Amino acid sequence: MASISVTPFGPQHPSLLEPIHLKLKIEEEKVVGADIVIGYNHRGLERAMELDFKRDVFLSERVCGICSFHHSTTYVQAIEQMAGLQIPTRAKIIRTIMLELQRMTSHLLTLGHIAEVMGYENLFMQTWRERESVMSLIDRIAGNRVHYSMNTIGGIRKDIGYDNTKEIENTLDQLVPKLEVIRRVFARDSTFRKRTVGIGVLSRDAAVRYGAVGPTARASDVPYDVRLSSYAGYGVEGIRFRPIHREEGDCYARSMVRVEELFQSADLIQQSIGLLRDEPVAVPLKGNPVGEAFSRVEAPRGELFYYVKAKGEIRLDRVKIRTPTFVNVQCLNEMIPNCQLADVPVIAVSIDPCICCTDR
Amino acid sequence: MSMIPTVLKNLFSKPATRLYPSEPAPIPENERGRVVYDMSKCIFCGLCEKRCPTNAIMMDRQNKRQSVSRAKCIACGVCIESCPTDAIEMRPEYAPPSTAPEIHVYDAKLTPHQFTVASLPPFERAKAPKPEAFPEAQPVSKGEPEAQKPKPEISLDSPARSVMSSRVLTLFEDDTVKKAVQIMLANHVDGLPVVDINLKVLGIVTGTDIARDAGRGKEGILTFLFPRDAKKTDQDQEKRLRKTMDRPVYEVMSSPAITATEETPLSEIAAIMDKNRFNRVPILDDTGRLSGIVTRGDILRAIAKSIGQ
Repeated sequence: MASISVTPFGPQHPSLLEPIHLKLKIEEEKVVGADIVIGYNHRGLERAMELDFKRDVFLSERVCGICSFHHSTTYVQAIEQMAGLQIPTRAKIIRTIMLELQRMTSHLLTLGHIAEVMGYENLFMQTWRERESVMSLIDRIAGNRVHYSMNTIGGIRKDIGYDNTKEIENTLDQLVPKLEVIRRVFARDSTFRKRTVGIGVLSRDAAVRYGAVGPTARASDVPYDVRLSSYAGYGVEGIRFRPIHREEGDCYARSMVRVEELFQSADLIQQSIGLLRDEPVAVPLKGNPVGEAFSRVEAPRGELFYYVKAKGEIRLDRVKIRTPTFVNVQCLNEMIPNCQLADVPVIAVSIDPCICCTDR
Repeated sequence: MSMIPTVLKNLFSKPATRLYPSEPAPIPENERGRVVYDMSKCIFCGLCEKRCPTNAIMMDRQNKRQSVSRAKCIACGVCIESCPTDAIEMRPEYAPPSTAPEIHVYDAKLTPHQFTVASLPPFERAKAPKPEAFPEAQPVSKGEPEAQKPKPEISLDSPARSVMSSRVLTLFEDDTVKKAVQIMLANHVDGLPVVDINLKVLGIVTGTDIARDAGRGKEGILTFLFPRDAKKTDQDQEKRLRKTMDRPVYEVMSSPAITATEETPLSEIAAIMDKNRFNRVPILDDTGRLSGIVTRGDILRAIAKSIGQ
């Protein structure tokens, strides 16, 4: 019987984009457990957001770079709810389009990242090449690749014109066949399957017990999606949508849920563009908000939650951000035991950890 | 195996990457690049300064200037929305890289959209940037002769402010002695004040301090200062010297430094120098921050001037 040794994984590790520390308990080659340490990226953003509720629209975008629009939408929705603003349908639909475009960039990033940590550099480059076309599309629409700055309290700051909608449709028409090729590789390639099938299994019970969200939960047969609660454009009549879920709960299922969601996003964008009507895109906010509100959005990694409490001043009383990775990272406790050391990077990346969000 | 068709296709197609920088990336028309002022339209209402989420805009109503701190600007476009006269626009272009945080000053005297660049030197970064501190913008018409200011008389009773040099080379406490020596040699100075991030003076490092540290032991100071005169420089001393070079300056500096204020008369500073055998005295402003330095040369110059008169 070999003794248990502790090997650190992170906070600086070639397979990780951001700092997270896993203390792996290893018995010979088998990992028997892990202690998770977070907090290397703490910036005190919740406190900083209490200073000025109008500036927070831009500050909330900077919580995270790969789901910036999701963060600002969630924050803005909370303030709108507090102020009782009814935002125009066109603004809601434009938000939906941008949210789904960002989900596509985020999922393509993660899929490439999973391929990269298992050493499949070729697939990684293919994925990121297709991501680039979405990124430059967003650049042309919003004026920036990462921070769109399109949200404002009461709607959208920048309308998308006829040219832009045409451009979105054209880009998607060209992109979807390329994504089909990528889906075939992810679904059938023997290299990819050998590294993912049956590895890092999260059972349905465990997913419910840990409160997993997003693709991590949906891959474990929990069909939970906040988009069903009809925020932004998802409640508008004419947008049909059904959560994608799988039953296996392993790394393969989590990757495939993301691959399928790429097509779902493309479909949702095409549905949304058909619903655009000529309307103003924003209503003005009068006075300072009072009271408290919470708002939820399905970010690429799962349910994103903002709680805001205001007292009728520029300053806010409290902003609480609960990010999807904060829950999902705990599921690693369930996935890692009884796997090989070489599989730990793949498992860790398969939950799509965004430490920037988690540590705030 | 399902990757093979893609691999073959990539083998015979153009590369997806761009040959940067010979082929620069295309910047879309409505890219949020940088904020540009048209100063002929600006009415100095102050809305852009007030609404900027990152306080990147500083307005100077008296001198009719607008300054944009490029490092702070997040290109959100709130200033453009708030401007009542459409004096601000966003241009799809990026600034070239720079070594210091750049501040672009738009002056009403210049042509619209033209700006001068003011960069803060590293030792002033800790101070809050104020528009008054910027260098004078070059006026377009150069014909006006500048009014001759009467030069103040300098005597030993005048305050330290009149002779001190306000551009001081400083060190942070965790800089190495090697860096201190390099700065001293490059700028022909013999002593450098050590400051913290708020420009509070912690101590002062001089050539003598370094020599004393390197020459500890039986050889003493003279051996280090005049190595040719010494009979032999043994390996121990070289080792010690190398060790000194890698030490942080706070281990070497004389601390606490004896300082004076801007109002202290020169005669008092001369007395401090004489009593302590100092060569230079750091001068602090009202808030206790380093604002200048007075050296023996400055005092001598003051004496020479007062005698000459």
